Amino acid sequence: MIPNRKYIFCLAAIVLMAFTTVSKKLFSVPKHFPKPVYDFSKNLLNASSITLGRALFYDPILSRKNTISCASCHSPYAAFTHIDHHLSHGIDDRIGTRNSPALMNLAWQNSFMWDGAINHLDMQALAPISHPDEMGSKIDSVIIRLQRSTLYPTLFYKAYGDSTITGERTLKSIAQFILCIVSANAKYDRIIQGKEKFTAQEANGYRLFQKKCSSCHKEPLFTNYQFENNGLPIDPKLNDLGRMKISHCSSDSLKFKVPTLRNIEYSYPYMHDGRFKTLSEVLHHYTQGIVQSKTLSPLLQQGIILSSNEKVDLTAFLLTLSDKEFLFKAEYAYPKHIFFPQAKE
Amino acid sequence: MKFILILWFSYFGSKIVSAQDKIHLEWQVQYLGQNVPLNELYATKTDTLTIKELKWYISKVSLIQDDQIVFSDPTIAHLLNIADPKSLEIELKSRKKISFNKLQFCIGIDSLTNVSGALGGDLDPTKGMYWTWQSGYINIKIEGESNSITNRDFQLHLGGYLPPFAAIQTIVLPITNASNDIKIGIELASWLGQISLIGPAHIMSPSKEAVSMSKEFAKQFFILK
Repeated sequence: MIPNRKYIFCLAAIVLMAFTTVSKKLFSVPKHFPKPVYDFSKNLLNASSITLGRALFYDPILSRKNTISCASCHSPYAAFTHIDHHLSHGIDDRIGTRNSPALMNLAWQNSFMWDGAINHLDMQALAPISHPDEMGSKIDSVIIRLQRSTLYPTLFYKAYGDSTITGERTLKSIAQFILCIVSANAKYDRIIQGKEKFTAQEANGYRLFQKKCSSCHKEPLFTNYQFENNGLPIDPKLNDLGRMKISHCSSDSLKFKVPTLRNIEYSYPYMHDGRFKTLSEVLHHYTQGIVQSKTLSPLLQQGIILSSNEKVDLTAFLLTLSDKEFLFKAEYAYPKHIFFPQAKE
Repeated sequence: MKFILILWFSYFGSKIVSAQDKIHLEWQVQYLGQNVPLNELYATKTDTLTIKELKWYISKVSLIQDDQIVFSDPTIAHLLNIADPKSLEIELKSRKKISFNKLQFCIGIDSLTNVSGALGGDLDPTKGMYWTWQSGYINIKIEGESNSITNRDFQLHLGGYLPPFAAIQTIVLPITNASNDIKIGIELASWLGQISLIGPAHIMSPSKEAVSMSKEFAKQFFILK
């Protein structure tokens, strides 16, 4: 009996180690990051589900006319946002009311959309799928299209052990893929890990950042995921009251989610309505453009004071948040091998 | 030998499980005491009415004896759909014989389930009972036409899980007969009569009116003799 037990114990240990290695490969928490808020135990990552999610993310099959995919507004080379479009651009060339957010480090985020309307990453994809200005479809129609496709029954089979296609599986697979989109290898990250050093200008920018910006754009994710009114004058055409639409509280009027500053070099234009094209316009707003109102963030009541030189230094620091590896990572890219398996590289 | 013993135990073990108590619940939707088919015109003294869609969630079904819960349904939620008669019947399986004198259930989905991400079965978002522009289940969905409402049509999508507009309702109904076949009636006439009284005929988001209509809906349940 004793050798048998030993054998079983060793086997169990090997299996456990194998699983640990696999899960580390699929998703690992960067050393300087906090614990993710996403509950992975309810949606166990596996390579085939992530692949399925990746295919769904890049496939316009999610939209009513097979024209718009998630990647249409969340392109990897633009830090998973829609470069140069101040408002999201959807089916039939319809224009939405908000700037598409950059996607990264979503396992640490507890609510989604500029107003926090979505309470769980699994459910996020439902919003663009159904919105008449985005994909203009419905999840039940999407499921029928996936069932009829030649590609997806096989991908679902590989991911779940049978080819049943459900809303739950579809949403969870998309969530698995976007959970894996992690940006944690910018110059800033390497400096935090002691591998590189700031230049004198970047170091001064970092000191200014910590003093004047980091309450909301908290390290290392560069957002506190709270909702704040940052003093933007209201756009009379959009008349967007932000978080108040969801919470129904007047104290939330004009509040929007604090966005991450990671990869800000690539994710322009800025703000919930994409009104600023450049970082210098953003800094000009914080130093000279803040509009006073009842719900303005207390930290901005006096505005932010920065000299021209300080703005340059702060910008130099912000550019250390650019993660080029993240932008061009093969695992996040358009899965040509799935859609065109015969095509040569 | 061990193998035979395991087989013997598993066989008789399953017999014990199958010797369970089954409680059959059936919902009957009525309008002025008559069963409601979809898309038919009802004429009353004050109104003519057509119901085109009626679906609602039942969750946390439990049986109570003398204020003690003696059975809790392990299924998180059941979607009852008037267009799908099978969905109006639920079988509860207890591993032991139970006595009970109250039936308790919730109308709608609780806050924990609402923040638990993608779920399957009756809670799959393809069932058309999940808001897409804002997270949350629709607890009760009714659509139709009524002459007593301006512009005739009404669409109530009642839900919301966050205070102050949490719309889930708990109902306790006394069970007086000893039968395991329980028929639960829902009388729609007075509830629908309140649409024009309470407010808008179109409710599509969590609101004071959604909570109010959910509370009134919960009052319409009774045990059929």
